[in-house]
Amino acid sequence: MCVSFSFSQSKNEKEERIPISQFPEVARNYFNNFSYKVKYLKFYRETDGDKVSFEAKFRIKKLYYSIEFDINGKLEDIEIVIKEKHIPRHTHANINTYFNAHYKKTRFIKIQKQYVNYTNQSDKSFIQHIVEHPNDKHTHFEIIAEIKTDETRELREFTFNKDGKFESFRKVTSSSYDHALY
Amino acid sequence: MHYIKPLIFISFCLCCFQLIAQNGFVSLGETAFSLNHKVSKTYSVNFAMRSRYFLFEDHKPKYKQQQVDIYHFSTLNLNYNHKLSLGVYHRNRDWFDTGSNETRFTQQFSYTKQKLGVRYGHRFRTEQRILNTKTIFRQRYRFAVDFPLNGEKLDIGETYLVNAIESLLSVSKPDNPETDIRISTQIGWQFTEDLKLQTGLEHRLEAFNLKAKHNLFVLTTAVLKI
Repeated sequence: MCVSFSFSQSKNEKEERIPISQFPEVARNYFNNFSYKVKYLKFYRETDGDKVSFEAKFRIKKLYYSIEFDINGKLEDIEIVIKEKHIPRHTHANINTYFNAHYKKTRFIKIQKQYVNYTNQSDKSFIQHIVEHPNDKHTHFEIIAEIKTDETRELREFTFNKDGKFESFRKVTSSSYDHALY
Repeated sequence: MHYIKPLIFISFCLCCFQLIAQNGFVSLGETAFSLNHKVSKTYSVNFAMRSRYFLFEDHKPKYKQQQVDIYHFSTLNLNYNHKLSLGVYHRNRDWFDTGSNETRFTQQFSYTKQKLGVRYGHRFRTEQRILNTKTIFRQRYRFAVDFPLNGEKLDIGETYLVNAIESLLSVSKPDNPETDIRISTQIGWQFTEDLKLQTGLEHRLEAFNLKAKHNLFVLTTAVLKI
């Protein structure tokens, strides 16, 4: 699962921009044959302890994609940033029920639809399919939210399945957030 | 695309040097040391010392101390991206014979919004500047954009840029209202988890509604988290 955009997990986590030549070879040509124009295509390497993964980020038709691969170039997941209102109503109700039952207060910071390739399509054609049909069946929702309990207030990254059933969460630190002086 | 961010920075610097060549231009340096401490999840404090000195005046370079400041800010994190702060500030110019000392009270509200590694910050301030002969009431609004120069996340050892534009309105009894604009660009380094250094330039266009003055500030700041 990837947490992009200025959230860091721990001290030994590092995300850096890389040229395409350092991207896993098998995945390099995954992004050049969509029928829509790809904008802002960028490649990143993420190190988290011993784990290295790769990420391609781009924009197509106003949607922000981030596609994560393991070190061998095998697809881990595709994520598309969405707004809260784009969560289907019954799913949203289930997600809200979870948050209301477990936390005093919740504020959503970032929501992504997530697609994991459970099909027998190749990674390349799966990516192609999702980019051409972004409203097709996603498998999870990933939500970064600020939550409040009696004891604490922190940022967490939650994973829900496509029906809004809670699966897991992990803590996200936001240390890099105060890099400018306010 | 890789070169866009440095280019913006360099062109801003060039604009500033262009200004130096003009008449009546004053350049000052400001060096600050700031200590931040997080008391709890919702409350944090900041203590800082700052020194300001002339670097260029009357058409020639020079070094002359203008003032020293000490200040404190108490910040209440309303939530993850809204903050309320109260500040108290003391400026000493007596020691250097450069004008009146000042005590200042500041109330501040700030809001930040993050999108794809770029953070946008809005800051509203009201200040009461108590000088020997008058009290100035000042309103300020600042819009700032900051982002890491490599990737979308600031990791240790990485560099970032902060650009800001601020407008100020000062009102005091005997004087006419004064409006200022400040534009700054700074580059910073996150050396360790707790230490960062930041340096850059700030152009201040002062009292442009009355008799405009141009000042260029060279800023350096060290920020330590304890």
